[in-house]
Amino acid sequence: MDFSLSEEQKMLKDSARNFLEKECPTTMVREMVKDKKGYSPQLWQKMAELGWLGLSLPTKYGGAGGSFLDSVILLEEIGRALLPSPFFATVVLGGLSILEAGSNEQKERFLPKLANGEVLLTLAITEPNARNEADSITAEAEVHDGDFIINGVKLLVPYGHVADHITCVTRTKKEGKLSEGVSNFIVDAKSPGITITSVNTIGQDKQCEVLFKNTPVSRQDMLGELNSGWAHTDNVLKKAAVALCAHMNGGTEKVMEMTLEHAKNRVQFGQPIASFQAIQHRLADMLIGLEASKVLTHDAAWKISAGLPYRMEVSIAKAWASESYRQATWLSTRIQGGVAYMEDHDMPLYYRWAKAAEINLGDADFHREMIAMELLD
Amino acid sequence: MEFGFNEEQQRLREEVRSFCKSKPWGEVMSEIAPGYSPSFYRKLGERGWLGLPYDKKYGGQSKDPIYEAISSEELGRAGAPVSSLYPTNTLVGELIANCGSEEIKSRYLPRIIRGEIQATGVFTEPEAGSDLGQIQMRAVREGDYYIINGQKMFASFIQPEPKYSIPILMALMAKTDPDAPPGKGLSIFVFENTAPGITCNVLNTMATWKTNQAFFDDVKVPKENLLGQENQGWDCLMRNKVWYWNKGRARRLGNLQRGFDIVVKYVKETESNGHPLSQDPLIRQKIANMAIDLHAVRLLTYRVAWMQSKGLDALSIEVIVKVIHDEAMLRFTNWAMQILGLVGQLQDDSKYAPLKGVVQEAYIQNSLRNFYDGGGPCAMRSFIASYNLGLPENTWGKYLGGVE
Repeated sequence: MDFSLSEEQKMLKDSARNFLEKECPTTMVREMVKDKKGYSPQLWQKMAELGWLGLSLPTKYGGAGGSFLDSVILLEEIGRALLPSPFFATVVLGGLSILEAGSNEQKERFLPKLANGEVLLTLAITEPNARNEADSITAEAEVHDGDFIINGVKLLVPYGHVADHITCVTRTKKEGKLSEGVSNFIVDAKSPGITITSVNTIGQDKQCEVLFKNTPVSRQDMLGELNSGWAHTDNVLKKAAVALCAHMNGGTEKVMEMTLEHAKNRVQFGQPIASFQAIQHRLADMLIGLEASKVLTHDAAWKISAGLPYRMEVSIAKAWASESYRQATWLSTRIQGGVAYMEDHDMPLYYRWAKAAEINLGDADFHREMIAMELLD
Repeated sequence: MEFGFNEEQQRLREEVRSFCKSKPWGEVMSEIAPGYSPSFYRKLGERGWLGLPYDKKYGGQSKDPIYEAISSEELGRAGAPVSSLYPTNTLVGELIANCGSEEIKSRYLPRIIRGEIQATGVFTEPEAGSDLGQIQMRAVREGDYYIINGQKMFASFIQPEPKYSIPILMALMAKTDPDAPPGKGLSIFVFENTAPGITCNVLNTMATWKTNQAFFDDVKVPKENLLGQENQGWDCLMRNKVWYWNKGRARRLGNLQRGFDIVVKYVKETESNGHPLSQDPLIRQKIANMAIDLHAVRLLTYRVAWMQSKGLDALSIEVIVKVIHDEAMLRFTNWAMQILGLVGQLQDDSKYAPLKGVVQEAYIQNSLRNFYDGGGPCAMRSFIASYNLGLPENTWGKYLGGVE
């Protein structure tokens, strides 16, 4: 039993914090909200040089050979800084999809380029019906001369507008069990028939609608076996949920620290408001929520890294983090008052993000149902 | 990071679990405490499970705190009558082991480890509850003795009962320097409840068990029974606070798991309107919420034990898990009552009572129980604010000084 970070993980955490404080102040986060690309290619290249993009990839594919847990530590810092970048889309969703189901040839083709920052990936799963479940995958891939033609609409595809390749989750069989009729393809974003449009979201991140109209895709670009894609996608979504928890915990910690500073310095009724127990108890609640969230997230990430069953632990972590992050932003805005509602304050960034992250990859209700399925069905 | 248990730890878990399987409890006296059985207690002593954290030289096993957390969790999970483990081993045993003189240690620790003596902490007073530093009970040195006068509240176990088949050892805190401010000038004495001059007024709790209001009139305690240095009692207590909470926590974590298992089985097997309760979406959410609370409490409980084993400041995390756990006990029993619905109110003597009435009993016996051990969630939150977050002191942070 060991609840501590390794020396390497501590160094990673410290260096990531220093780097992001310098390279990613909140002025930059705001700039990127307005920026068309939504990220800085120079900064992306620096992240590649730091080894962040290939941190958890095997060394034979150009990665650093780190564990999933290492990425989780890094994501805490990324979430703390609200770094606007295709990291989650490319490294987590795109990278994990290929790692999970890709052939050796596909891994060799994409992962080294992912690690050195040459290629941006993303995952197209959600559709306008907005449920990330096998039954709701309707975008169709039909066999055509031994290859496939994709037709359908994908929504909320992160950084789809800049992605080079999109892992698309499609329906390839309509009869029988719907979870056994899903196949995944790595589609070149420049393929004919693809139209990508950015959508505005509460989190002000870059997400897109991706239309596929008679888009051809080669059989060789199928990830895994025909009709067996859902099991892989489900694993990717579970792991990505843990990655998102880490991102959220970083944000929760920053919100708590901002609130603490405010409470210590803000004088009302003749004393710093931090001396009032009503304020203290709310700050304590933020810390309680955060500490539990961190240990639950690390536990799930450790189970994934150690090759143990992790479905239950993932859902417990995401259910908790979804509530503790949002709750922290609620408590914080209550303590900081009107100034934290002003657009040039940092709180609106976190307030928006907390809600978006709560919903993405399953909110607390969704994950509680996942837990119930594990326990009761 | 490594969240798993090693082989030896897993073996201990298995051993305790299989020992409890046949329910070798002996006579249980629930009117004294919720599950109190001196004979079972001695059986645990025979197996060495009461001595896990203590030095080998006193008959212990010199194991790190993770081991005791494991055995406590399993005892709780089996529903073993071990309420007495808590005050004895946790608090008093650790106070003696960490602050006592060699003489006190060799006199009491072997008996505690063998399960031959029942011990309890006697601290709370009418004016010293959450604000324990306000203790007024006086101990005045006269020759080779201290003379103790004053009143204590919620002094469980100490009433002289012929039913007890085991002697009661008290660790009592009193003021030895009347001019010292709150939290200072306090000393801890270790002595048995047979000392002349103690009168108990039994207090009935909302549950079946009892506690006491106790009056001490010129009680004579030999000077050798002072624990550690005079006037250093507060620091000693604070240093052992984490032990005090965490070991009881592991047992109640086991209790939570036990309750959870019972409720999960019930909703799977019970039908309503032609469907098992487990298919009701609201009930599914409640069960999931229980699983979440349980997992959070378990991870944090073992994190504290691990921190202690590494000599880290575990208090900062212990106070956090204490709030989550204390409130989880309430949420759990409440959700379980809601799941049972109308018949859930029936007590065990009704043939219609679901689960033999254990849920409504737990709602009364257990839902609030944690609050009364070392401060409720409000005091904890104030403490977290000052100790963890560095905000102005409102609680016992004011008296801290000796906490490492």
